[in-house]
Order: sequence, then structure tokens, then C-alpha cells
Amino acid sequence: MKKNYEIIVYGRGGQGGKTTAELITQAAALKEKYVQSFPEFGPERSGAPVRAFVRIAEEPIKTHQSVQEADCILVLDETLLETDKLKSDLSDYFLERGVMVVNSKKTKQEIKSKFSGKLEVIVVDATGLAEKIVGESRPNVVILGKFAQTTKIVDAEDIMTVFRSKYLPKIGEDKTEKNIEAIRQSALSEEV
Amino acid sequence: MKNNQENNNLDEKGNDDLELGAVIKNEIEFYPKVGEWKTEFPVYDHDKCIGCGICVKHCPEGAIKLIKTPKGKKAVADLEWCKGCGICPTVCPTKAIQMRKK
Amino acid sequence: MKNKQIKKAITGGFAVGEAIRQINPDVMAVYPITPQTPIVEYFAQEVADGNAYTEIIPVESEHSAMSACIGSAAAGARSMTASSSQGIMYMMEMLPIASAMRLPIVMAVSTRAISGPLNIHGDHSDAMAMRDFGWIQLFAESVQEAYDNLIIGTKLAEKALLPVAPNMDGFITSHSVENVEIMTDQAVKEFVGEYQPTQTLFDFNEPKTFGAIALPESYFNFRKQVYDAMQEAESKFLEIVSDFEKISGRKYDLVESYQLDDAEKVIVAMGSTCGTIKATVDKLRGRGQKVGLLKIRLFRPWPVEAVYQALKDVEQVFVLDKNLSFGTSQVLAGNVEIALKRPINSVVYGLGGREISEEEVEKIFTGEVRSFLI
Repeated sequence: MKKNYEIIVYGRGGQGGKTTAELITQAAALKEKYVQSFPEFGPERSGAPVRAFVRIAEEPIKTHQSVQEADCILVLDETLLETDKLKSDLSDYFLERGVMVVNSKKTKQEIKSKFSGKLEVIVVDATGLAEKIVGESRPNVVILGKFAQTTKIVDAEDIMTVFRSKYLPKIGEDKTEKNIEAIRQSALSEEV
Repeated sequence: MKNNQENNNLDEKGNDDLELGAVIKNEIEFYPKVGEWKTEFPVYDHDKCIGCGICVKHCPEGAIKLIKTPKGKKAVADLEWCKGCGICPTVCPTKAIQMRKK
Repeated sequence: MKNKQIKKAITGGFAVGEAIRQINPDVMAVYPITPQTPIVEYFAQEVADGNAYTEIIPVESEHSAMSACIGSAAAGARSMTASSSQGIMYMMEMLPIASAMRLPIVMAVSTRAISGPLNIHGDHSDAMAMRDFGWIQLFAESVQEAYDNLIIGTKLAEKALLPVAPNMDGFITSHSVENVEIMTDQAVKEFVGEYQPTQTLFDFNEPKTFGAIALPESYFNFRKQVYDAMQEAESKFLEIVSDFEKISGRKYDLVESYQLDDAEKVIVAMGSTCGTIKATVDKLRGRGQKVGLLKIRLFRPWPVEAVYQALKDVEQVFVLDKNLSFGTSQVLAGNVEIALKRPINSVVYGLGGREISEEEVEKIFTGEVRSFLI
């Protein structure tokens, strides 16, 4: 039984991958979980593929290695599904028991057929939904809602609370509420 | 040995293959194809462009050039190397550049 | 009596910035360098918001940052700064002057590889480069320890009258979010107390010269004075961490022994890698292997007796250096050998931020990896 619940967030610089990891972490911390999150440390350029890692546990987390056996992989940009790096992150453990949430307009079947194993694949048009509700194409808020709904590792309500406290002073009431609505709708919506 | 560095050929290379003193050649064919990263691309209005070259200097990928046109020197982006970061419209003094979705 | 503490999940950089804010030093000289920048950014924001009254001096380089700290500390102000890697290299000529003048400056270090080639990621080469300049050096495994070490270090600097560099691993601790218990402002302020300088530039009754010349007749003696102060710093550290346990509930020592009791193979290491090693030790102990970790917390002065006592009965000792010395033995390995008076296995790892995994730690225990975990 794995002691740590481990998540890898895949995105391109500028898509909010690091923020996604941070928000999950803070939401878990609200429920007094032990947490750890860090981005992959590499050259930071807009558009470059980046990973962010999250660990959530009931006991203090000791290790500092990057996530080797993810329980959940969140993919903000589906072109990253084709990269060697993502493919090498698909451990046997993940392919058997993991959950993948992918931002894509394709069907669940199309995406799932890329992988072997019993992993659960959730597909959501996060970019489209974000454009509709928030008016911006950043997909991370929708992915967060689906993550909360599917894995139940953190509550969508907690993600919304953390989002509000972090972003209200930065982006104002209107944008904050729109983003929160995107999280809410995503967390409640039926799967496609 | 599992190594999480991207494009790291070091483990396949012995010391003999390493560049002496880390002095590297400018081999553009090994550069990542950043053109594939973009979701938006810049469109240059040559009626507004004054050929000042500010966008050329600011492009992080070196994708913009000034070319001679019948209207004078104008900016043009090589979309193979443009990653759609959106810096050029921000620095253009005559607002001659717009970002458009792919 | 243990004080009320607030549980947060923040990065090492913010935690150290928060510790500095709570201490509210008189002066902080700032110059940015990755990966320490979050410390000063957070702190500067807090000062701007009125949560600390520190005089922030934005200087033009790290050399000036240390010079400014020396000047203000000599004037009797509690002075701090933060740096890494090339910044520390740049201020290097000032570092031994800070200790020679017995100034209790605190420099938060987010350790980073020194160039070349250019690398912004974490290893210990910058901390190692300054190890002989009379600075007390502490290492942190986690965000919690980075926070605690800054507070402990401030009090230690003023008790020992030596500058202190609390080190945390660049990026791995400075930019990673972990759980941390933050003490109340009052508890921190009471612990570090008011700075009581014994001699300052502002003594107009008995004016003094700071930074004098010393000819061959006396220079040696002044250097021995710093040497003696470093020797005494170990016992001062122990007094201070004992007091710290009373207010925080967290017990610290010169070293930390993890599963050492009947260990046949032990790794000695510093910094965040110790967490990964602990996780590996847990795994291997689960399979019946007698392995353990000795974590070094106080690196300078070197706790030679504590290291000897911890390892004297251990068959095989592996020492991990996150730094590279050329043409000779590695720093931490050499220090451990001096303590144990017998050969140990030296492994260099993690240079330029190259990751070390639990799998690789296992390979060090089995001897599959020797000398370089490259």
C-alpha cells in the first residue's frame, strides 16, 4: 500500500501547470494532510514542456525524489501525450491503477487507446470550457475540477477556497468568480 | 540510471564525446522545434510596421527578420521558429502586430 | 513551554523570509540571485506591507551586500542578507572579514552549483567554497528545518560573535512546498531577543577602529581568536537548540542519527537528500537490512566527536558529497575520515541539481555505485 498519493501535472510553460500543483497542495493542506509539491527544475521558457509534482499523505513525507510511480497524471496539453518524457512516466503501477485526466476535444476511447493497462482515463475539453466560462483559454481550473471529482483526494470546495484566497487580490472579483465557476461546473458535470 | 533531465545525452556519452570546456557549436538542427509549441501566432500589418526592429531584438527565439518589401523594411516571423509567446505585439511601438489563434 | 504554532504549507524560500520577518532585523542588504530570490522578494513585500521595519538596502552586487552588512553590523545593527553560488563567489573577499571582525551577520543561503558551466540548480558547492572563512554553517533537510535554522542561527551568531550561514538546498527546499509549523512573532522575538553589541562604530566615548591592519606580530593571534571562537561555537549551539526545543517542541542536535542502533551500513549526508535516504532506509529495513543514516546539521564547526560516537561501531560508512573537490579527497568524506580515523566510501552525487532517487541510494548501500553517482 503506497504511503504517498502522487500526482504529476503535465503542461507547457504558461499554461498553469505549476499553479495546478500548488492549488491541489494547498487544498490538501486545508484538511491537515502532509503535502509536498515542486516543479520540475529546468530552464523556464514559455511553451516548454514542464512537469510539476505533488505528494499527499497521512504521515510526514520524507523523500525528495521526483515522482516515480504516479497515482494520477494531469495533462493540460494533449500534445505532451506523444512525448518520450510522459511515456517514461507511465510506470507499470500507473498503467494498472492510475487515473489520467486529459485536456482534449477527442473522445475518451481515442485517448485511452494510446495506453495499455486498466488505467482510468478522463477526457475533458478544458480549454473550450475555460474559454466559455472564464473567457480565457487556460485549462487548469477545469482540470482541477475534474481531478477533485474523479479522485476525491481533495474536495473541489477546498480548491475553490484556496483559489479565491490566492487570486482575489491579484485578478479581482469578477475573474476570480468566473474561474471558480469553471472549477465548480467541471467538478459537477457528467463525464463525456 | 533513471534520469529526469530532458535531452540529456550525457549517460550515453563517455567523457570523450563531451565538448572540451563546455564550449559548444552552434548547431541549429539540434534546437527544439519550438514552432510546434504555439497555440497562437503573430500577424504583421505592414501598413503599420515602420521597420524599427524592436520586435526582432525582443524575440526570444530569434524568429523575426526584417525583409525588404515594396513598402520598405518590414518585420516577418518564421513560423517554424515562432512559439507564439506574444512578446512581439507587446513591444511593437505602432501596434502593428496581432496574435491570432492557430 | 511549547508555544502555539500555525501550520502552513509554504516553500522554503517563503519560510525563511517569514523567519526573517519575525526576527525583524535592523538591516537587510539585498541583491537577487536564483534560487534565493524568493526569500528577499517575500521579505521585501512584507516590509512594504508594514509587517517588518527592516531597512532594506538594495545594493549593486553581492560584494556590496556583504560590505553593507559588515558596515551596518559594525555600527551595531542586526544585519542579514541572502545569497547563493556566484553571488557568494562574488562576495568572497568580504566573508572572512565578517568573521575576523566578529560580526554576527546572518546570511541565508539557498545552495546552488557554482559555475562553470553555468548552472542554477542546487548542489553544495557554494557552501563548501566558503567553509574555511570562519562562518558557522548549518544544513537543513526540510522547509521546517530551514525555518528553524534561521532563527537558531540568529541567536547563535550573537552568542558566538561569528557570522552564520543557514543553508537550504536550492530549489529542492527553497522552491518546494512542504508542511511547516510557524511560531508566533512574539515567541520568535523573545527567543532571539534584542541584539546587544559589545562594541560599535557609534561608541563616541571610546571611539574604535574597525578593519585595522595587523602585522606579523599579531595577525596570527587574531586568526587564532576566530579559531577558538569556532571551537566554542559547538557548545553554544547545543545550549541554543536546547532552549529552542522548549519553545518549539522540536529537538535538534549537532547530527541526527536515523536507525543507527544496529546499523551495519550507514550513509552520511547533508541537506534534503537525507529525506530521500530516510525513505530508502525505511524500505530496506522493511526487508531486514541493517542500514541507517547519519545526517549532519552543524557542518562548521565540524562536530568531530559527535560523528565519531555515532559511527564508531558501524562496519561500512558511505559519505555523500554534493560537491566536487579536485586532485584530493572530497570535503565531507575527508571530514568523516578525520573523525573515524579509518577509510570510508566516498560518493559524489547531485552536482548541478542532478537528481538522486531512492533506487540510487539503494545502489550506494549495496556498493553498486562507487565514487561518482554520475
